[in-house]
Amino acid sequence: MSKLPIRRPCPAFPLARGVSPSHARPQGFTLTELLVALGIVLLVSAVGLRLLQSLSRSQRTMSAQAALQMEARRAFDKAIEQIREGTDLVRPFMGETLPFVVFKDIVNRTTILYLEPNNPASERLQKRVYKLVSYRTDYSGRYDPKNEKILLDAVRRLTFTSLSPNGVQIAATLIHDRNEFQFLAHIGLMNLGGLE
Amino acid sequence: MGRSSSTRGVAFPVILVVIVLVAGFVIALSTLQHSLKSQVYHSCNHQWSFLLAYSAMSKMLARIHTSSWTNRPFATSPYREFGVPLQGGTYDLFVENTPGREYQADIYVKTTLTGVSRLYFWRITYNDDLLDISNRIIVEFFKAAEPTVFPTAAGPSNFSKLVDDLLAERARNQKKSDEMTARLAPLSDPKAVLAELQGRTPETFTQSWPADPTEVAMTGRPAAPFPVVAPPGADEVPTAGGPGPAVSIAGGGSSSPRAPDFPNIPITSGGSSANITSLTDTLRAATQAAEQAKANYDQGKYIADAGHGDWEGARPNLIAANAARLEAIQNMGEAASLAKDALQQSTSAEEAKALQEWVSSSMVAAYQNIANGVARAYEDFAQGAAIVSYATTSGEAQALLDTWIGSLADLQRIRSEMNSVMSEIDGFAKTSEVAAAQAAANQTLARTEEMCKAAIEAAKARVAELKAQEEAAARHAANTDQTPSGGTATP
Repeated sequence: MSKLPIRRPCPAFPLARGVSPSHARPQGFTLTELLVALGIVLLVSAVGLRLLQSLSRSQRTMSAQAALQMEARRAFDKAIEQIREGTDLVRPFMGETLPFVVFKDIVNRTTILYLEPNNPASERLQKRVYKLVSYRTDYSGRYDPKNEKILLDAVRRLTFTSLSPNGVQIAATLIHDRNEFQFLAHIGLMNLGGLE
Repeated sequence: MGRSSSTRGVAFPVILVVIVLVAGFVIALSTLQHSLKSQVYHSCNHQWSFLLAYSAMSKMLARIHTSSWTNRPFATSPYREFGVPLQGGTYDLFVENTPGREYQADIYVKTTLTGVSRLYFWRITYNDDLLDISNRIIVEFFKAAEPTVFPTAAGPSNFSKLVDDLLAERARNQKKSDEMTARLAPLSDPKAVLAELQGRTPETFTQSWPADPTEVAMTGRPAAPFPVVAPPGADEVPTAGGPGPAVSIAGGGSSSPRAPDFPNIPITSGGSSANITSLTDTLRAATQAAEQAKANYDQGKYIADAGHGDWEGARPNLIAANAARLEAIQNMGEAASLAKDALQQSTSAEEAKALQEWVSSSMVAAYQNIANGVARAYEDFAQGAAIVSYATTSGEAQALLDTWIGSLADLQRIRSEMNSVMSEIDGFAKTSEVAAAQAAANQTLARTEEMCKAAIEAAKARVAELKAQEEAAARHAANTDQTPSGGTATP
């Protein structure tokens, strides 16, 4: 039996038909073609993989940032709603900047939003991290946990500035792992029926 | 050269696969981006919806303004708008007269933005006063609510009843909240505010993390002072009396500067104007010194906290605070004396009462600042028992006890000085807010002293306990020493 040519035989090589291999018409891919095709496929795959990895990484970062923003905005929405439905601003005074705000809420319950150290988060991030806590008194003369809410879990900095008798500006820096997100909002008190 | 039969017809499937892959890739990417955008937009929409509703409400207020209350669009039946496009969303509006109330209206605005509905409610009062056009419409009540409460028919709804209940509760709390406000307004420490509100004492940092440089700079920033307005010159003071009873302006015509950041003092006779000016200056000096004392006490405590109880670092602030306190007390004493002189020259009971109220409010403000500052500096005594429990020898505990006894003596001296100066204005008229503020400051100092005494008792107990332990240990050691040498061990 004569030696087969270099070209790869097709699965149904015509030996079965009794044709001499030396006379067979060249068919299929040459080794060079296969190597070149394989090289191109590998190159494209490598580039595609890197691209996907890069996209996935940036997507994760953006998702984390979006999640932080979303969480922050939701929490701020709560704070903003509380303040917006307030009737009077007690502190800060106009032109004053403080790390807390005291106001009367929609039913004249005196409410404070203040920062409290968040020790577990500080341990994890190795820096000062606070919680934004809301507490409103019901004038019963005793502490009631139901009147306390944690509005934000991870705050780096937060200040309240009163720029008008019925408005307060919040400037905050929130932290989430490595990312920090800064926030600025101006809130006007809506319930001013008692303001003469 | 022709293609072999095995490679013929491959191009189409290959291109198809490539197209499918690329399309899949693009769809996956756009889905990810879209979900990201929708997350962010969802939260933005919340504020956007409020602005949309506020615009709709403002449009209705503008319509009321342009006509009269009698010709308002909802005079006889509720006014409705549905699906009005505005700022990228739509809103539904329902306005009706507040059931059972004159000159009041309930405005419901339901906004729809990216498929999400929200409802905002305003109850307004119309001030039918042609001479007060700038304050015709007053918002009595505002609340965000569930969109399901949007009314479909006129008349009292469950929601309007809820609003009535909330307004009644607001009215019930008005006096209590006003009194609380008077006590809270002078407080600049959230812990003190929480104590007044009967809130929980906030945690402290368990470790000394580095402070953010902007943290100190941005917090506790005092209000900007009012601009200094120069007094009118001699040529600007009218020489002829105007209409009405003849009055003279305190300090008028004089070139002596008036206090820029104090409210105008009551109108007095010209003879006492020099006294009043001097009194104004003295009171201003007292309140400023008291504010300075409080700021220094606060800053000293802050430094001590940041340094984990390192009071050495806070010493310059405490020294400055003590100096400012003494200056404030001296000025308060002088002010009380000047006020008594001025009262002798007052021409009417009303004038005397106004003067007394003014002096007492300034002095109580200074007193309260000093009391709060001192309380802040002493607030660690609340944890006195815990602090002394860390002492492992009676010597350490005794050293703490000696220091604390000294601190208590200082505090009692400060209280005595403050009580002495405040007793000068015991008979002065005071508004209820001022009286409440003075009582609160008294209580703050009394509470601080009690705390200090309790800490000292805890320290004494700890000293006794440690001494007993040390004596027991010494006896045990002596017994152990005697046993092998003496050979008198009990059988």
